[in-house]
Amino acid sequence: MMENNLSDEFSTILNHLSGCAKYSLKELNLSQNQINGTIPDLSAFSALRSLYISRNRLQEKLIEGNKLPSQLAFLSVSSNFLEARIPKSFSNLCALPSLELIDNRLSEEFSMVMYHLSRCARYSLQKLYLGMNEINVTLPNLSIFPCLKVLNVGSNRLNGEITKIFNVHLN
Amino acid sequence: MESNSLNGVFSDSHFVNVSKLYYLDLSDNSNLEIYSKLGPLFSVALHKVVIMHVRYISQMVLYAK
Repeated sequence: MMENNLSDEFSTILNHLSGCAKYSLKELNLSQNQINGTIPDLSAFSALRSLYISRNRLQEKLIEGNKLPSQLAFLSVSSNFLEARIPKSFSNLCALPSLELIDNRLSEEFSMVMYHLSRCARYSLQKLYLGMNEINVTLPNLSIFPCLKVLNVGSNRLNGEITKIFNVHLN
Repeated sequence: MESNSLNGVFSDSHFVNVSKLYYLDLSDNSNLEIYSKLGPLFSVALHKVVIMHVRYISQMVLYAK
């Protein structure tokens, strides 16, 4: 359903899919629509492996209890309006190799972003795209993510002394 | 790490013990000084490094391979 003119709330669209699809849907691509609202509880979609909801109008206001499927292997929420901190619902993603959050309004410290992801995804995360946000301070210790191969943090508000960053984090 | 506010001096010596880095972009960090020249400091495993558009740059684009 990519590139249509869907303009409902995300939760409304999911209600239309929540019959048998709840247990069989493997990939859901809703990119390039005008979907709004927050990220709903998707934990019942037990077969879902890939979720593409980039280029929409999603906002993230923390709703306790909302979760993403823990088996999710690819998640793209780039070019939306996620604000402040990384959504709490992302902290139970234990099998996630790739996360794309480019072009949002995340504005917390980089160390906190990685802290939230480290709860579950630390041994699975290989590619992390955080460019074009307002993430600040400096690079945290990334050695707790032993599989991380690609890190995109361009166009943020990172500072820090390059030698220290390079010696501690990139060697 | 392009388009941030990183600072300090960056040179070839930073790559001496680096064997797995494939790509590094430090462009558009206005407080960063870069001094570099192609040479044996680059590991064979370092396939490509691109550093562009930084202040005081002495080597715009570096290719180790």
